[in-house]
Amino acid sequence: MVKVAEKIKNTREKINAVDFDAHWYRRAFHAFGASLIFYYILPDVDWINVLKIWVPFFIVLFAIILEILRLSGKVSKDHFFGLRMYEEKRIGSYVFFAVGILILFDFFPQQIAIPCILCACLGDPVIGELRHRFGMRHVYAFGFLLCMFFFVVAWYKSDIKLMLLASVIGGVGAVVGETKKFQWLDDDFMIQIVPAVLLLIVWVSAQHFGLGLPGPIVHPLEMPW
Amino acid sequence: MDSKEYLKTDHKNLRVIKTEILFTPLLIVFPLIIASYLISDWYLRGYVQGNSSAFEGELILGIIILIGNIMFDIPFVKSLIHYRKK
Repeated sequence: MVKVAEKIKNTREKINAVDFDAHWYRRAFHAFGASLIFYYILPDVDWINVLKIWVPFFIVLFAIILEILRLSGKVSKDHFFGLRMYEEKRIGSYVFFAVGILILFDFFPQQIAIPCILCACLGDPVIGELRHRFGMRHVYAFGFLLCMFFFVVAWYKSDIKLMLLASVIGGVGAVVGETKKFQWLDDDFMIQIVPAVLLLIVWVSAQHFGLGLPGPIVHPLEMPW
Repeated sequence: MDSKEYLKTDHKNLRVIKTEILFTPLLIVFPLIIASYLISDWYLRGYVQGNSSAFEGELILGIIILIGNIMFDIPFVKSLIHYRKK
């Protein structure tokens, strides 16, 4: 019995000794978001399609409620790790991030949604890291090229002119979205939605002019039954 | 790095720290699983069946997710080890 109590005490001491670097935690959390494209791997079956709509919706709803409780003081900020100073009295970036991804999942084709998610999950932290080391102009030029690359990957099966147009528009939209930060609209939301809306216009226009649109990048898992 | 930018939490609060500890394996392992799946899907449903061009997107996407996550996970894990030693 004494040994168990001692073990619990030791474990608690160990856990207390662990401190996390909020900076790298936030960066790792951003990069983790890229794996959410597993949404498109899920089989194209009726009951899973229903879950695909409602599960992300309830997760985002839960995050929004949690933020409302934090901002109203009903839940202590001590329960939230890695929040920035400017997020103390406004909605946390993670909620904007989640709302952006939810909108992309529900209202945009995967050829638009996937590169936009990559821009937010990988483009944004890379731009953030480079900002510490290089001048702003160089950072945004690199950010533009990186985001452009994500759109090339998604649109490479389309007509070449359309691919170039989409990747330039997507890259510009992502960098513009990244630079915009408002009290009630975060760059984590803008970096996803600005290029997505611009590319939706390209998508609809390409359909109108009969240009070859790209096929899906990720193929859903086939059910064995 | 940038420690002043972040809100301070009470680090003696076990619940917060435990939550972060529970999240860490998920943050690191889940993207690796997804990246591995995409690469293996390109191989199994694409390359092996002679249809690799249809799955090239998945291969590139898998590599992007893999590299992107490793790039940020290494400094994150290093910072964890660093603080643990403190």
